[in-house]
Amino acid sequence: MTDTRKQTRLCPADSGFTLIEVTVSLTVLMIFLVCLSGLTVTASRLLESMEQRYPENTPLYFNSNSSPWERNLGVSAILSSNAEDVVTDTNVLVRTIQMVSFSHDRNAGEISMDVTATEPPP
Amino acid sequence: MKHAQHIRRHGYTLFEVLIAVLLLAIFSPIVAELCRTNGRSISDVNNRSAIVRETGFMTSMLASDFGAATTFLVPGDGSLHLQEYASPFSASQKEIVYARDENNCLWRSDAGVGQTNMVASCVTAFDPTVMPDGTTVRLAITMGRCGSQRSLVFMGAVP
Repeated sequence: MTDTRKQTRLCPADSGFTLIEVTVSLTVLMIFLVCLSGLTVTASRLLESMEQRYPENTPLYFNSNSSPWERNLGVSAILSSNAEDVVTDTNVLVRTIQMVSFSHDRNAGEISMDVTATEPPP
Repeated sequence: MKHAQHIRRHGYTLFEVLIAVLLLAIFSPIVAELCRTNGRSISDVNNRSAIVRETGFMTSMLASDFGAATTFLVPGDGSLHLQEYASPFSASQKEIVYARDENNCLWRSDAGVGQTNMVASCVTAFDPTVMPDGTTVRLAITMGRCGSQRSLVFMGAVP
């Protein structure tokens, strides 16, 4: 009875961490930290590429169309770093659009259609 | 041998303790440096990505409003008033007001529909200025969050 209790108390697993356990845990911790640093570097590079869309202290221009028709429709302005890049009013206002023919080639992945557009009266 | 076994079963041997201390001495500075660097950079990346995210949303809202704006007004209190059509196929106009409050939030008020929405929550400065030509407004916006800061300049024009 006494011997059994002694053996249970003296089991090596109850005495604390062994050297191999400490080494393995430190190795796992190092692998985790290395992976975390790699993830941070990747996220940082991705963020830098996103930040290039909005350069600091450099004017960005909201280039909008001067057409009152498009302003009435609420067409969004285009953000550009170039003031000269103004959207020109080349759109043709149409009154009616009528589809003449429609074909769909599934093999080629193409859709083609013919339409006729009628301009509004001046 | 009996003595050694006795010590082994009750704790660490001197050799194990020495190796453990040696490993700790090697790994501790490396782990500390990694935690310090990663902690700072992760925090910085988080703040900067939040700023870029809010900048993207704010820019899309401003682009939408400047695309439809017919006139603007800068009263001088740090707000920007834009006049635009209330709805398509309608000549009636509504007013959009961009203003920053003391909590660094940029608000967009649409008087036409009576809605006020928060556009960005980390705007530390919002300064609209009318350019000499009278048709262009310059928006100097500073976004800041937990030490990370980004200054942006936008130019919007009306016909």
